[in-house]
Amino acid sequence: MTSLIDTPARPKQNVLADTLPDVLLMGTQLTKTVQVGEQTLSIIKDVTIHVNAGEFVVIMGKSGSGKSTLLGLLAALDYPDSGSVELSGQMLSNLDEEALAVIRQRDMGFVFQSFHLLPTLTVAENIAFPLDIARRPNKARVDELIEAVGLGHRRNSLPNQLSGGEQQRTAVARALVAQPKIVFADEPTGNLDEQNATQVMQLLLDLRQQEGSALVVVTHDAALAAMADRVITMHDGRVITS
Amino acid sequence: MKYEPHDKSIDKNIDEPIDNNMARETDYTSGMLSQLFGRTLGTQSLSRAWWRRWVYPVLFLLTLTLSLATYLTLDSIQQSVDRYIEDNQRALVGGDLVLSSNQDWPADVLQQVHTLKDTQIVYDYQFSAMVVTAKQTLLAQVKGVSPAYPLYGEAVLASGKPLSQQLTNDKVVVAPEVLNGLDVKVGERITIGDGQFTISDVLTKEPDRPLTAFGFGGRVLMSQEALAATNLIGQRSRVSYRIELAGSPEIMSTQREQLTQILTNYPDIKLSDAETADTAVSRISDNVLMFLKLLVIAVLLLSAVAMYGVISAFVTKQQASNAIRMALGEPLGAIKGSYYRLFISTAILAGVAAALLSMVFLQLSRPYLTAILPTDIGLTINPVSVIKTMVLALVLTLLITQRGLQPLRITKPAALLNQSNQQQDRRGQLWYQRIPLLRYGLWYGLVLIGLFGFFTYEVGTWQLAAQLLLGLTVFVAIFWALARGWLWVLARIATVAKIGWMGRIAIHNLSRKGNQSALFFVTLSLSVAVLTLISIINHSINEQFINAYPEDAPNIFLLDVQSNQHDDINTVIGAPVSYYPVIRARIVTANNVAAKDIQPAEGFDDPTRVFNLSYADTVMETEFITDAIQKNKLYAPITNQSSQNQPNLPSDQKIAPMSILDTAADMLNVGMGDQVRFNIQGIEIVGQITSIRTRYEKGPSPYFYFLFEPSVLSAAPQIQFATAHVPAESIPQLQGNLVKRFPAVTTIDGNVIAKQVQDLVSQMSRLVYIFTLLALLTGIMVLISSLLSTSQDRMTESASFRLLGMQKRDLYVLNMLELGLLGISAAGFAVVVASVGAWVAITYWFDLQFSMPWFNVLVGGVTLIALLLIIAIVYVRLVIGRGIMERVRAML
Repeated sequence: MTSLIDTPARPKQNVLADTLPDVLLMGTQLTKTVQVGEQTLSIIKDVTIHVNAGEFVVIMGKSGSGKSTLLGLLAALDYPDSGSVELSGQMLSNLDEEALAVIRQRDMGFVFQSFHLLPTLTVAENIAFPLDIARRPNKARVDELIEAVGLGHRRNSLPNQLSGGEQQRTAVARALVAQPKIVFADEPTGNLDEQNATQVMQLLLDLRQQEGSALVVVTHDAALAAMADRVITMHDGRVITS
Repeated sequence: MKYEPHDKSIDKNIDEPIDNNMARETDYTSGMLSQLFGRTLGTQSLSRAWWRRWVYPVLFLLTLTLSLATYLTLDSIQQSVDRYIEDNQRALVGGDLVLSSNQDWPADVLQQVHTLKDTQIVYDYQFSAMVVTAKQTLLAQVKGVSPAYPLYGEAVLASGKPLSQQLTNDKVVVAPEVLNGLDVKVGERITIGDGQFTISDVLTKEPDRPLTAFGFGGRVLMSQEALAATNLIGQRSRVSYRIELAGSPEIMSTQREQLTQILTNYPDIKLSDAETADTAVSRISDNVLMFLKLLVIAVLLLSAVAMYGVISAFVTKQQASNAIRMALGEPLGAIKGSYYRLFISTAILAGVAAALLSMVFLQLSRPYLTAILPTDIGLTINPVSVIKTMVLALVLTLLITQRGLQPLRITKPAALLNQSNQQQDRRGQLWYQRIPLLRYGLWYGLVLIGLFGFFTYEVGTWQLAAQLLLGLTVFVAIFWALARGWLWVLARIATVAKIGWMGRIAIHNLSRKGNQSALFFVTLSLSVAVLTLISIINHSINEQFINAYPEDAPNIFLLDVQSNQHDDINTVIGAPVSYYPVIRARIVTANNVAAKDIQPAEGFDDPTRVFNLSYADTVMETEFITDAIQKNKLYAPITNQSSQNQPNLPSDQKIAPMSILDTAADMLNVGMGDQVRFNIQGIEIVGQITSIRTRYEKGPSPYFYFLFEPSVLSAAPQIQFATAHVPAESIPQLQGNLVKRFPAVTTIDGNVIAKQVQDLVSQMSRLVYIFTLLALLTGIMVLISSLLSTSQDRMTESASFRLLGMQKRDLYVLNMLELGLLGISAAGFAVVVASVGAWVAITYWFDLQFSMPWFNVLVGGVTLIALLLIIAIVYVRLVIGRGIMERVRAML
């Protein structure tokens, strides 16, 4: 069956991706605009960015600088207006929603600021969810991660019965359960107190290191940025330092 | 925390690129199927959310179960009736072939019939007569039959004895209502005409008369030989003569051929067979049950709208969870699959509940169906109906779900990110989804085709189905346009007139996206219109026949009066009596068009039937002349006696001046100066219209379509009909006295007839009330579901109002104002439409006087408004008001 979806013209072959064999994720000349009333706002302007396999990258910038939008484009949660995103050499911008969903379930993990657990599933079920949709049920793996994030005693609790820190630890376990190539975290500590924030972030870093996944975190937290392999700073939709 | 990394090689998925086609054809399809048939965490999560938010499944189940249950009940009844007709058709008709006539049989017909054995023939004579005891008199339906009766089916007697044993020359069997009406017992004597008979048994089932509600008077069954003793046959012209024949198909075929040939000389004799004959039961099935079925189909469609509201409200409520599932990589197809699975399983649950409820309905409905169903019909849930109902539930749910899942198209996982761009990107859509006309056109096209198929299945012909679908579409479109127009007018009023801010917000809310205001307006106004229409018709009939029965209107009617009996009857009655001569005739031609070729307009009589002519010098008190050759004169001399237009008229016979009633002129398409040729028992006369009359008011007073000068018809064979007004309480006594003096005269108590009509109308209207109330209930469901589907917006808005200092009391007022405004305008509009419709129906179809049931309308209106206000209060209390301050704080 021929795809009838109108995809943006494929940009020029990325030289960097070809020359750097350990580049996992490559965003090239990305742009994104939004329509606000009659006005068109450009929120990502010609951004090129890469993440190596196993690398920990932090994206920083002021509110409205385009960090989360960039994360959405890199994580295949949204389409760029122009430019391309490649994961392990596969062009994502050409794929439709269904194909991107398969990429996300197979190769990506997510941690959101507002946790975004499924409210009607228990801790164990929320963690098992990515494996379940990928038809790879693995109870031992789920149990392993529940213990790893210290929620063994809470495995049958519903999200609304958990504290913020517990919810985010569940989300961390969920992000890693399918052993993704890359984990995206959008302000993962933004809704947590300092103690919980430190605990969750440490957990995320430890697990990432053990699993070997790359980690891309959007944050305002300078302490967290200090732990990163690389920090990318954004301003007004552009990368100003990398 | 100690953590050992997991061995990736154990369960890591294939690590190769994914392309669109592969993803779509493998994951999408398998996702959809596994979500439909398998149990995944996605389906569990959704299912828990559905049942925990109990209001959604309760509304969904309530709406679907009620409409399915009524459909199933009605369909089961219809199937039972069809099966009853199929099993009893010959018994209902009386035989394989039936001859019917209003006159005694010609010799050649009898000769042909006698070629069959006596056991294959039943002679059947039926007429109304007064049954008399020492204390009581009663109008009854007498039937005399030959020994072979019944040819099919069984006449059941209370004693269990065979009918032939109980019917002798001086014995009759009677229906239970005759026993009760006369207050007599089996074994007692009754008088019919000149004959005296002993009641030998009670007739509990008459195979060819399963419905009694439509006839006036209980059955008295006697043998053909016993009829002579009554002395009522010879002198009557109102006897219904029937010959019923039974035999093998070959014999019947031969008989039919022979009889058809003979009957070419006797156009008044009708020959019918078991296959084609209409029976009272089949007429009920075709008319009443089909009408109710259409109402239920309308309710089903309304419930589909309510279900759509519930589904889209739930899907909207689930948008955050949907986005999470998408972000974690669950394909859209799989998410949709989980919704389909959930709603289909809920629909199956509704189907099962509907089957159980239907069993209860069938038991409860029995007393309400006595007017339209034979007492011996078995009412059970029909398996075919259950299957139909289940298929209907599934198809309806699939279609509605398909439409209700539209919000999923705009669900973007990126919405979970901070400051995300939530604008819709069309890149993930299939090509036809990007063209709104195709996207919606496809769905509506499918729905219309489905509806057309369903209608065709229900009504039997595609032509009628197309008409119904077109009618329904046009009707709803008109109401929809009016609703939209009214909402537009309200919006205009809100901007130009000086209306308080609360009123303006309420009006603004009516136009809220997804508010379904127009839909609710249409639903509410349609159901209220039907209810009001039925109320007005019912009320008008009651007013006309019962309550406002004119003081001096006739209330006693005498049939078969002889001219020489006038003085004696006047003496017995002791009040002014009006006599009307009746000459029975058929129309041969009207304005040179043969009666059979006249195409009467819808609702008019059959021009080929027998008409009652009369003669009089003056116009009746209940009528007046609207047009005449000579002013206010019934007749005028015919100056041009040309026989040019009437070539077959005997040369010595003149064309007679004739007065015609306006409705008859309309029926025959004739006007002033036109000629109508009649056949009175073989003799033809021609009348030329010299005046046109109309009736002051419709009601129980007698009237004649055609009036001639006395000199024209006084010598024709005739019977007379008399009316009088007497004190109501003296009627039974008078009936007794009259029947004793004049056994051949039938006396009818007008009050009893009116009461019987009222009972019948009440029974029928009660049935329609029940089904229409269901429509109203579904309308309320539509309102509730639309409130639910807009709850998110309303809650956010209410939180903003509270933030700005609005009191909780104001929220109540605001919602009450909104629903009240919509409800009052829809109900007011419905009452106006229903009143116009009822006026047309009452004036032109029922020939009655329009009367408005103000009290009922007032009570209904107040109840409806109260219901709407209660819904508004409960809604604010349970949905809008709950946790509002948390939302306000979250806004800061």
